[in-house]
Amino acid sequence: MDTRPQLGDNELKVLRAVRKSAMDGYSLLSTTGLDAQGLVDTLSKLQNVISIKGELLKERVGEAYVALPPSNRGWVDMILSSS
Amino acid sequence: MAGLTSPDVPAYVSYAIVLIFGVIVAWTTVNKRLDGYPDHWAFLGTWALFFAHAVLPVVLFWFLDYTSALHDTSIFAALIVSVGYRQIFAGGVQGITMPGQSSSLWKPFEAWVGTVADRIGTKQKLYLDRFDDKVRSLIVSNPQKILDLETLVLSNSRDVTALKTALAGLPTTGNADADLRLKLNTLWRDLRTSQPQEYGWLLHKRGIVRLWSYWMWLSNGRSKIISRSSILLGVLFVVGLYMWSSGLGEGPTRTQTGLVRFHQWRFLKPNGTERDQWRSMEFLSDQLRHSSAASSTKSGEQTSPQRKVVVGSSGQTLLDPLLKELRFPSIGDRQGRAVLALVVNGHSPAVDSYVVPELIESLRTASETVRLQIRNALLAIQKADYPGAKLPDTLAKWEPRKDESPGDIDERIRAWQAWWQTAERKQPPR
Repeated sequence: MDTRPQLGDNELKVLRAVRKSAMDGYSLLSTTGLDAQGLVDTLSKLQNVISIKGELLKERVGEAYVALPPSNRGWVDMILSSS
Repeated sequence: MAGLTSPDVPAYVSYAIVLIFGVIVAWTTVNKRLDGYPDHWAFLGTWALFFAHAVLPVVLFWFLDYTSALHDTSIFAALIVSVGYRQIFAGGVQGITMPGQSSSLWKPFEAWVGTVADRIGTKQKLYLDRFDDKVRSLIVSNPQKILDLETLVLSNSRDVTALKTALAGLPTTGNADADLRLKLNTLWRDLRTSQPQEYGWLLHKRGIVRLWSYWMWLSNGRSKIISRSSILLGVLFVVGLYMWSSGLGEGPTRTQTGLVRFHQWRFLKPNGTERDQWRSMEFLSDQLRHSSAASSTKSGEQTSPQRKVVVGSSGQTLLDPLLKELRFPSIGDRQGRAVLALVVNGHSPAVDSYVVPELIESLRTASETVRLQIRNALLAIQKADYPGAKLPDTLAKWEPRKDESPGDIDERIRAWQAWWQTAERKQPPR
């Protein structure tokens, strides 16, 4: 069963950012233009696709470290190229 | 690789090609797989992954040769394996098929890449946290640095009004240290959000953080140190290996000994090419000739330094592993013929002194074909070096047969040994 989520604009923004490079939450906030709560919600939806090190709390999401595992890169490339 | 004609080169050249191209491919593969992780060369796991990727095509090349899927003397095969080993594992290279379930060996490799990537993510976060913690501890203990930080954050904030409101709205705990930490947390968060990439550099420019700390933690410093140290270690290892194998002092060097062992291996290799066996035959014959010449040199006479280098090892050391193979019941016809051709072509009384007893003993082999070949070799040596020591009719007319009993064979062997004792006495080795 495919546990990958249906993706909205925010999810695509995050995927585009982490596809280029793994980064911390602060960089992700800056790159995607999301606010802290928006980023927490988006990362929660993408938990099966991306690797998140740290806590998904509004006050601490900036300190999280978010990366795209090599095994999911193909799938993300396909999604991003078709979006 | 059937139907693909390739230049046939010594196997060590092919293996060198596989290793060199394997290293290049491994470097690009690891970079590609972990390109999303900045500083990935700063981690031991990445280097382990790189070495495994570099060694894998060499092992695969050997394995495919061992299973006769290709010849390890083929340049084309070496290039295909070193560049396309992933496709070979996936069964995507026509003509090269992995035996059995071995193609599934690639899966643990894929899983390993994922593990290394995950570990890098964990470590990256740890390093960022440590840097944050270190800098914040440094700032909180120095009132001047707090003021510097406040100035820095206010001048770089994306939303100064919101920052001022947040600072003004901070609760008072009654504990000066706790109030200071709350203020620091607010300033720090704003700086990280406003300048997520440049905050380290700005802290350094403002004199809050030393250049070393910034370079080490936020400017790939660790990665640069570890990468360059690893490359330096690799170079030192290669230089050390070269010096060790070149050797110093008397006798053959490790390289020369290694070369002899290499050709002994190639000579007996069942699935080697004709050309490969011919190369080893030429090398071993040459060594045997020089060995005979060296042993026939009168005592006290010095061999030239050049000759000493070529000789490398004694004829007995050279031939012993090959002669022993004649006793192996399932020795291939080609290998048997090649060994016997080598000893007959290199015959001389000096060589005969250890070859003939070995050949006589090897007549006990189960294969009547090999027994016949050995008998023919003994006859050839007798005619060439011991014409004065006539063979008794029982030996001269003996035709090894399949149904010979061990007792019959033993009788022939004793007769050959008796002849050899006479022949050696009549014409002792020069």
